[in-house]
Amino acid sequence: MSEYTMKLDDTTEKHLTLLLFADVENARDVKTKLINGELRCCVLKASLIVDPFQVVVAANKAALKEMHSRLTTKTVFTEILFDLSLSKNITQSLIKFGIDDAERNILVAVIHSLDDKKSIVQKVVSSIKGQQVSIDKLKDYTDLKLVRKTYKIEDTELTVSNLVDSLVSRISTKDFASY
Amino acid sequence: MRTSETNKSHPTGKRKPTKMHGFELLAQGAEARLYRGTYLGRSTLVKERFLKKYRHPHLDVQLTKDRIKNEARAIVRAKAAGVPTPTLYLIDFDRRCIFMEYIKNSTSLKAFIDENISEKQNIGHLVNLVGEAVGLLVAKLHSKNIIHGDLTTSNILTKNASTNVNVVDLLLIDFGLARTESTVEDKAVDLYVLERSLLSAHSEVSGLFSVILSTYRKYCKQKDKQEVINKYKEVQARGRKRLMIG
Repeated sequence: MSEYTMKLDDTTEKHLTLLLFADVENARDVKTKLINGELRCCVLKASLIVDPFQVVVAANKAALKEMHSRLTTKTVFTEILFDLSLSKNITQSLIKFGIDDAERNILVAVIHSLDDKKSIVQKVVSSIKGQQVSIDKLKDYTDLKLVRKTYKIEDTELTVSNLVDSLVSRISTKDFASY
Repeated sequence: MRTSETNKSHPTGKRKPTKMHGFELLAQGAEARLYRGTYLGRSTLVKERFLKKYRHPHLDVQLTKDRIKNEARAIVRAKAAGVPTPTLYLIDFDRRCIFMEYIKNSTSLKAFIDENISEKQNIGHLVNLVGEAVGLLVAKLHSKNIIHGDLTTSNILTKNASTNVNVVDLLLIDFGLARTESTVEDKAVDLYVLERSLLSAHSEVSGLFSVILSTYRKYCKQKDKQEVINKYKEVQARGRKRLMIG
């Protein structure tokens, strides 16, 4: 199984599927398709993601906000980028976690109901010119130094917590906690 | 409302059906209910601050929201300060819940002391071990100006504990009364609350608090540490509440 699927909060009736691509050649096209709504998913820099669970927590939050019509950004997909970031500035969050035109390694997050997974995943796979890699390899593409800088994680914290736990605790509380 | 292991009595009689599908009610206190289940694929503890019908609805919503924020904020700040705390998965103001990590293989420090230290012989080494670990924990918190507010051995968990170890793994829970800014007085009271709870819960274990205090003194990084200790002595003499004379 090269992709990763996790059921989100029961009340949302949604699932999250993650797909990892390496050596992507058409990041610019993908970005255009995302902006004009042709591709309905969230595309992330793989370098800033340590573990699928990091995206799960952010996507769960975004899906719940969508259900309550309380999104801060325009779509549930940009909301994932915003929720992953500790910044309250939307533009900065999207630039930070979203892909650049020359991005090579990208992680795609799809939010779907149980029965429309296949069609959406197919569309994503056909739109991206790159090599699909098993999600287990995600760690090979992570830039740990950058992640720790982005989430402001000091050595003291890692003596008592693993990195993923620290990240998701921050993501859950970003609306009202600062560091 | 203390730990996941040492339940207070379950509500008997009119126990409300749980609205958390797939979650099992673990305990109930005056402020919140604890549920256990699986959430986002992980073993999860849910702390629900339930509706207080005697309050005005608006006030109730606002108070609950503020307290949930406070608690969650203190948990992440403590983690950043190097104090082990549960991982947070979701803060949900609509359901008035905090979804957090369920700590497996843990017992409360209270149970650990009752079982391994109270009325046993040759426990000096274990008392030192526990005292040092607790003292370090509190020193780390106070160095970052975090006040737990309810330091008791029921709110400290030991992970994978056994008696023939040289390190005790501790984890701090229930930040329901915590604050993330503090004065010397707050820190002194925090220490005093811990001392009183040790006196009432573990009166037969003498010397534990003095180990905690000397470790605290050793590891506290803040400049005002001597001030805190002096204040603590003052609080000890007068009790937790300030004198209101004049």
